[in-house]
Amino acid sequence: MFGDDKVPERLLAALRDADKGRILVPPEVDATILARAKVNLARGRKHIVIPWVAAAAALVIAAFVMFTPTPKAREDVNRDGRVDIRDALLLARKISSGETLGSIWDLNHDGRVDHNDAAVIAAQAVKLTKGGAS
Amino acid sequence: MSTLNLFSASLRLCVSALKPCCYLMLLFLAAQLSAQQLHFAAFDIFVDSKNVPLAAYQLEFSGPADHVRITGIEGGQHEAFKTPPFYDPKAIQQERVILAAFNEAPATKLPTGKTRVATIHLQFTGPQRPDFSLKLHTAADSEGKSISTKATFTQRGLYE
Amino acid sequence: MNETGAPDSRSDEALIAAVNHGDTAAFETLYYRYRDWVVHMAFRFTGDRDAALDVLQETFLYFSKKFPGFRLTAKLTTFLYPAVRNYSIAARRKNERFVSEDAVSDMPAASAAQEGLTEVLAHLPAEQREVLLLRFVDGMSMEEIAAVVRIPAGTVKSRLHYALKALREDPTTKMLFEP
Repeated sequence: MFGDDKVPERLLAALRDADKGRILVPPEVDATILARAKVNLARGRKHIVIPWVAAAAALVIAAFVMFTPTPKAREDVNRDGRVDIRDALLLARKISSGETLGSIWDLNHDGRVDHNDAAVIAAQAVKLTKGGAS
Repeated sequence: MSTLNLFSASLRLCVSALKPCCYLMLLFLAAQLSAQQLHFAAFDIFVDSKNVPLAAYQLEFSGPADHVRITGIEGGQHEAFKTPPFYDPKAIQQERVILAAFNEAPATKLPTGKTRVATIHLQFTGPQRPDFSLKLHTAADSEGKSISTKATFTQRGLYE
Repeated sequence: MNETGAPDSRSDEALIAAVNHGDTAAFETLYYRYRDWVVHMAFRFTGDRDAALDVLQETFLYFSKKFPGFRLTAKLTTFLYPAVRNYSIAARRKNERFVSEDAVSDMPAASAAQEGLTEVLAHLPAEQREVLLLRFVDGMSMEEIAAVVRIPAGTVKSRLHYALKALREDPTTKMLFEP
């Protein structure tokens, strides 16, 4: 006797047949939906300012957090005793200004000081365990 | 006959005694079912920097443990904060998340006033919406200076 | 899979990340990957082909408005199902018709048991039919069904139990339970 979580194969096959493809979506419907969706997507994209910052941060966050112990002091850019998003903003501004920055700011140890290092500070700031501003 | 009367009286007594127990059991079961009920909600997070252009914010959103699970995070309304904010991926399995974002754009391109900076999608259990809290850690202007701001949140419907 | 190109084997998470960065082809891949599932679900609820196609459009336009700036941490079907369900209910109310008998009887029955099943399914309460098909046709777990339909797991089990009971007890479908 079968319980409610397992049913015979015959019943399964019959249920699938009963529910099978009654609806064929015409290609013109696909085209209309995709065209309208693409308008929405383009509308949303127009106002992005720096999308690559989040993408770069997503690539480095897990590897950095897991494998690279980072001295807290270096990330405290404004030396207020806390590591928070203001430190990330300040480092990003220094980088964008073209200021020459020493390797001490290469927080992800990739040999360069760039916005990925600012993203490292941001990642540290939002960590739920120790290291964040809270 | 007297035996029948005695039996009948005993039966009535038992039923009377059991009635309140049955009601209590029904109430208990109803409470259990209510407690398991699953809800979905989206919370818009706002930061009001008044007339100062907002360049960065960091805040913490939390709910009661064991009742809340964060399922998605969206960016905000203004172009400066449209990209999803930074957050700890571990927060997705928890009831608490710290969100932060910054934008180096010139002050003229940053939002002022009350701005939706993010939306948090989550699911929670229980008969009614639990108490959530929002704590602003810091906010900054385009120079990186700390500014006075207010953070609030509102729940919205699924299809807004 | 893109209807006109090579199969795209990227995960849903990777495709969503790509859409967030302006890759409209990734959205197209997601559309074709879930199109049939969405329209099937919509047809289950509405019983009407045109309404199901409307719901298909509403659902994917709703989804497209989430970009850029959205991250998904559950299955995409979990995210889309409430939208499909609610747009379907709205479509039904708008059209003021739900012909469940037509919806399940326009397929030629392969056998008397199949025909009986179609009939019994049509007469099941909608909420029992929903859970039955999500479990055994879509292969969702009880927990997944509870999440998408937004009911307790106990209610899922109860609805499934009564749906199967109806099939077991009906003379035209009970032979489907014989091994």
